[in-house]
Amino acid sequence: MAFAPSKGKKNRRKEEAGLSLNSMMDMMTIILLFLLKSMSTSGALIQQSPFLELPTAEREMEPKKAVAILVTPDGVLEDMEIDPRMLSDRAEMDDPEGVVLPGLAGFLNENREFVLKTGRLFRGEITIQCDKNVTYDWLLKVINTCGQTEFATIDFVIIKEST
Amino acid sequence: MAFKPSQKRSREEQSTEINITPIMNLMVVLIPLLLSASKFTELALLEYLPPAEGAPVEAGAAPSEESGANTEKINLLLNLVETGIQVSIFQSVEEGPNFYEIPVIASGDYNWETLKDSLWSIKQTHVGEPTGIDTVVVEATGKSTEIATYRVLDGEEVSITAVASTTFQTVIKVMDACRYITIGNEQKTLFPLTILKQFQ
Repeated sequence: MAFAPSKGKKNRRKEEAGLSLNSMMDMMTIILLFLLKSMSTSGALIQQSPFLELPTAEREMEPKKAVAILVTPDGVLEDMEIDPRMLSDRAEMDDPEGVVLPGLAGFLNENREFVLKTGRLFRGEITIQCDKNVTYDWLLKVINTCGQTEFATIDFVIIKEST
Repeated sequence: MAFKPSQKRSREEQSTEINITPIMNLMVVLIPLLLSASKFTELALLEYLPPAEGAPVEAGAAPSEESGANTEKINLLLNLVETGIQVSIFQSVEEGPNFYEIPVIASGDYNWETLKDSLWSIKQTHVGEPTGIDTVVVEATGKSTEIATYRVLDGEEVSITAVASTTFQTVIKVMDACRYITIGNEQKTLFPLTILKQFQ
């Protein structure tokens, strides 16, 4: 014969096994605050191009918006996210006689004239995203071309080294 | 006869906890959104101001000879060659205290720390502390900037040349090394105005 169930067990109220969200809320709040803090608005002014690898440096300035070009191992390109226009190809870059790159110079002149036509102040600022493996002779040609076309303030985009 | 028990007594107690489920929903949406928008590699700019053709580098800051100011220059030049970094001052090309080479280290990389120490030594010996501050208005931008003046004209200038095969990363590293040195907890200015020149 089975024992009669104890009265305590019989009358005990079933407690709800609810999920406690408090600790998860704490965690979520910490993550949210961290992400909000680490978000920078100025970083969005420059996007790293997928066509090159940027160098790293310790000292730096905040990004700003200016005329932008890409210097890749294939040549100089206009800074566009999709299908960027080739301004100066390898043949032009490797030409031992050429100190100024005609394709790049044409693009920069167009930009300067556009700014002057629209009545804005021409600041002569240019932002260059240069691949870290680009050689010194190519770099000098790009700098010379910028100087010749009155773009006298050159900013190189770099990845800020964590110190 | 006993009274019927009041209905209030059997009423279940209502929960007084705050309902955090909508806040949780909000968090679940916000966190992936912020994670996708955040960038963990921080981009920045390294400014390079090439000298204007036929003009002194510190245009407007250069004192005239009539004013009796010093016009001496140290002409600091760094040559990046395969075997190391050649340091030259006063346009010297003969080996000695004014022209020497910092050889590459065992890994094949340039010796950045020795370069910084060497530049600091040159700064202390030949340039010294700033003698004053000049305000220069940049014509293109209209902004005024303050430039420290020294007993030599090119107290913050360094020319860099490199062999054609030198990579851009190396050029950035040498520009970085020429800017500042940390001594103790203090950051000292070396030669932040870099001029890239053709290797001869």
